[in-house]
Amino acid sequence: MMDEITISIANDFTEFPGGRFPEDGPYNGTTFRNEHLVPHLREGKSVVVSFDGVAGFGSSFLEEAFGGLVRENHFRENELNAQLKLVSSDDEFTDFIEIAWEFIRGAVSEQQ
Amino acid sequence: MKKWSEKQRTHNLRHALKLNERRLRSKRQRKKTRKSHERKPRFRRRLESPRTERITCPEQLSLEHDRPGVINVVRHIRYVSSVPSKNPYIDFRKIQTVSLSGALILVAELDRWNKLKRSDEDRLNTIDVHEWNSKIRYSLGQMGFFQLLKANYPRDLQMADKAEHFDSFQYVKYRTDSKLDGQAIEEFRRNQLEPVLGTIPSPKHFYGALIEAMTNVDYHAYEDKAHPNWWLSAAIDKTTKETRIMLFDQGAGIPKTIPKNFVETFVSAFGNNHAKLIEAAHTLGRSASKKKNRGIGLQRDVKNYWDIMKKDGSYSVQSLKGEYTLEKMRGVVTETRVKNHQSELPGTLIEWRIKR
Repeated sequence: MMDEITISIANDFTEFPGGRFPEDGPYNGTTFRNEHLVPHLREGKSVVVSFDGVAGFGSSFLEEAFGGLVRENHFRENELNAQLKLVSSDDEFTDFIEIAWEFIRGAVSEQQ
Repeated sequence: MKKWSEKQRTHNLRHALKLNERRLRSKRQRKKTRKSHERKPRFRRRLESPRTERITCPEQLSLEHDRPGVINVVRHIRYVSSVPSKNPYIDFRKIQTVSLSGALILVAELDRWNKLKRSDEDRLNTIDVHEWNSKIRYSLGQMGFFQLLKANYPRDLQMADKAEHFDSFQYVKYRTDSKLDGQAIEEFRRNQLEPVLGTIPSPKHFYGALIEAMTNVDYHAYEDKAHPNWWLSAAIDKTTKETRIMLFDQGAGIPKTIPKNFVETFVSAFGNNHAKLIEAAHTLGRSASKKKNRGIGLQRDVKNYWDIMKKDGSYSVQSLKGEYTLEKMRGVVTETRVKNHQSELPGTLIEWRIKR
């Protein structure tokens, strides 16, 4: 059984994410992916990402943070399906979770 | 030497006294004139200076009612700001009506002026506030116009204007920055919007719309990356219960930042049709990077906030000569308009209009 780690974007990263690259600001998608997702996924852990407590998301952040796992870090779709879990207790985040998975699938289809 | 008679001497003396009296009178007059000139306030002297350029605002400071008028004023201010030897006098006294679009574009231009000018001497100020239409004064005052200029909005006028207009409409103090700032969006919603407009529906999507609109400003709008400013404000019409939220930037504009190879067919089909290019940017996404995953925010977040509202309202993007507008009744899109104007807006204005 895989080790599980829970990452709260609001508590472990920021309540106010935005932008794609470090030059866009400190709370961008690339930094979140490289510092909070990739190391744990590389170790083969099961990563639970909680969206709760965040002010909201723009597509640039979500695409870079989650789509970037496939495009930049070359994770495969089946690995992410097995290891990555996006959760929230707030209904308004359901859309954003769906969009994040859409970006992962979009990056996979671009790779093929 | 000729010897004058007594009579001649008396005549000469009287004449000399008369001349002296005239000289003294003229000197006193000159002194008096000089004194009265010295008493004139500095702004009056500046107004009369040949360096002063008079800029007259239109009667309707509103993109909806007088687009060329608003754009002309902005261009005139920009021209004067580019000539170091010129001082502007912007005459607000003629304005009879104002809308959020006109006020925000004007405030952005004046803010730009202040940011460009180095010394306090060059800062803009107000001089004849008591002669302005009270509605204009109240609207601009709420937007933060007087704080922007560090100018005086006399307390008695403030009270009188509030008593007259408080029940009909309210503007929200503008916010501006040059970078992506999620915390600023959240503070704007909590501290400035909601106390005036009431609870904003779907706040997380609202955040998404604004953070992505700001990302677009940062990525696409400005060729001069040093000043990618945006200005954000809102207004509520208390009679119709209509809320308008606007974000403005003074960048290159959406039609000019669509890379030709990305939407090649559209650009060749629409050419200089700015309105159609704005529509295409919403349909296809827009990206200066030419990558498929980039430039998706306009459609997915910026417009999406309006899409999820199950209410009456409109979503509009004006950029350069183009205008793309969607109207909605009870959550269903009833009309899509693409319109090209004669006059070119210096930037991009995004508006979310929601009826309660």
